[in-house]
Amino acid sequence: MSSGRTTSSSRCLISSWEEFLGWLKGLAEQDIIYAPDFSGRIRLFNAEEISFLPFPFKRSLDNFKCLFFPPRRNLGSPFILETEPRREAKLVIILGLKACDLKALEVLDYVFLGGEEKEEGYEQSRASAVIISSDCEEPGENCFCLGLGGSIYPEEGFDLNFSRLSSGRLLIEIGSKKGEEFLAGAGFECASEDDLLGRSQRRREGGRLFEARLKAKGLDFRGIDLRALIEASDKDGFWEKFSERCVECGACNFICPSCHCFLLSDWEMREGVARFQSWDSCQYPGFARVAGGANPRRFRCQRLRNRYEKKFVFFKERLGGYACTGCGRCIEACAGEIDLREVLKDLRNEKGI
Amino acid sequence: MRKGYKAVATELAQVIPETELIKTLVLKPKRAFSFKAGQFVELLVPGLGEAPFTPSSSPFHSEQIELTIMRAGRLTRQIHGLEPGAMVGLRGPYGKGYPLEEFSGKELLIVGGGVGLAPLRSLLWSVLERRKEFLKVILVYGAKSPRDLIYRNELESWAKDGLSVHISVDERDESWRGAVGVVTMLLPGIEVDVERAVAVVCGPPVMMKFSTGELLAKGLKPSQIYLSMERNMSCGLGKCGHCRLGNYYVCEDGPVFRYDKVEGISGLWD
Repeated sequence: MSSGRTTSSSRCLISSWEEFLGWLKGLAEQDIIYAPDFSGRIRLFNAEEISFLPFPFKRSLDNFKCLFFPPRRNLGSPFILETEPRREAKLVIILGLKACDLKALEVLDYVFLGGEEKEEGYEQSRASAVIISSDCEEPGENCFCLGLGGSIYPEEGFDLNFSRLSSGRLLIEIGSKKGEEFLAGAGFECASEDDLLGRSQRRREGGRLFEARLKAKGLDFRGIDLRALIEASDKDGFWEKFSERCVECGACNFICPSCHCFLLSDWEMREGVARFQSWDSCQYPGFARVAGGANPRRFRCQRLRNRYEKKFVFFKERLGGYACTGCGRCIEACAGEIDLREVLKDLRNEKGI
Repeated sequence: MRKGYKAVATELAQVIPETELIKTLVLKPKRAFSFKAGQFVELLVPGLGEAPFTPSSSPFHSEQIELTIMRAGRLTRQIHGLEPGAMVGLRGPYGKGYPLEEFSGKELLIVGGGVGLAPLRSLLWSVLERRKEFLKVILVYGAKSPRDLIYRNELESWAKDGLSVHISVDERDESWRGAVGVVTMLLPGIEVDVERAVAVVCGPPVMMKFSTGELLAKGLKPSQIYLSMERNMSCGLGKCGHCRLGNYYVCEDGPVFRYDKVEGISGLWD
């Protein structure tokens, strides 16, 4: 992503967090607001609570995919009915997304809105959401998005994006019609050229610091063909070295903002049989098993490799980019302390790059 | 008829026993439901689960869809226990099916193993409908024993319909007069013009692996061999992630793949 893209100032407004909160309070009565709380967990905020929103937001502990692709979704009857019950869609305001979260949403959009059929439930939650992202001022200790070609500030995929200026003022970039409508009537003034320059400067500085930190830790993977390294990674013992610590809990998948695999299952409910869509994990032994018991990924090392193939090979081929955003959440969630960065570093070292 | 992950209510009209382990279910969907040979459907048994099957009946008679199902696990055991009149669900069709237009004007060598003949039967019905478009149609089929051969009556009638039919069994019994041995053993003796032939293979992975080897040895190119890959297909729409095979999803891009497209994928035959 280039930092050279210029943003027309008419798409950018100037406000302050307090002024914005005032505006948000007026909407909070009828709309639903989700954001990370002070501990980084994403939760619902009501009108009284929104003054406690922990701005400036850090990368959240859990992921935002649960708001679009919930851990378990009731799809209703497994049969096509004459008339499907209509669901009232309320506006859902989501704050605190980072560039990495938006990139992960791109992956989910590809999966659930692409292909021969769009997924209705996902499409609805996407349509009713207002996405409010913000620049990453303080990348976390496990973050390494830049090292995978990511960015610490969002460039697309948001309705509104917040950047703090050195004056403490808030620069709000409008990224969509929805974002524009959201702020209609708020009366925020337009940003000046100086404000935009100020933002660029802060972004550059932040990026430089983060880049230096990643380079010092050997975590700059830009310019390295991770796809090719993973494709050639069938040397005996490479994946075993890591997978022997895997306890097959699936936490890496569930915490990952771009993991999208799911299971369909039918359950007897009071109102009849209902079909559920639930998150699934490719680390579970039965994930790829077929009738009769044959299993193309019988061993843990095959399943661990599968996760990397999916992120760095499959999506690179299909989407043109990695599905791993470098957010580092799986590193924090892994009970076996399998560190994705160490796996990538080892892949690189094996090749002597 | 496709709508999300939802099925068309379908009546089980008839159950035809094929062998000790294999039954053909004759299904009547309550809404229009059409498919192309080689595409698959998800069969839903309320309260029990769902599994993918490729119809074995003619796509030209879609008011009545047949699934030939081998008892292999928990769900298929329950399916075998269903009685006519039972209500089930059908989702689909999914996948690409056989590219008949690519087969046109060619010699067609169809190789089946065990219950793998089921999707090929659907293909055969489609081919027989336009028999003149194909130079030759050869069916090579193998099963464990004479008792394990499916569609016995049809095998005989196809031979009369201008198909060259070759059958082998792994283990013979007193009644058997034909070839004995695994089906791949028949392939070297089949005469085809390798320049103008295409081969379609469906069966257990190990049978497909060795058949592919024999076909290559005969001089066919990887781009002339079509395989039915089996993976754990669930959603059918390339979203749930279970059936990934290299950079493909079997449900969306397959289940029929030209060998040159999948050659070299690690674990291809697993």
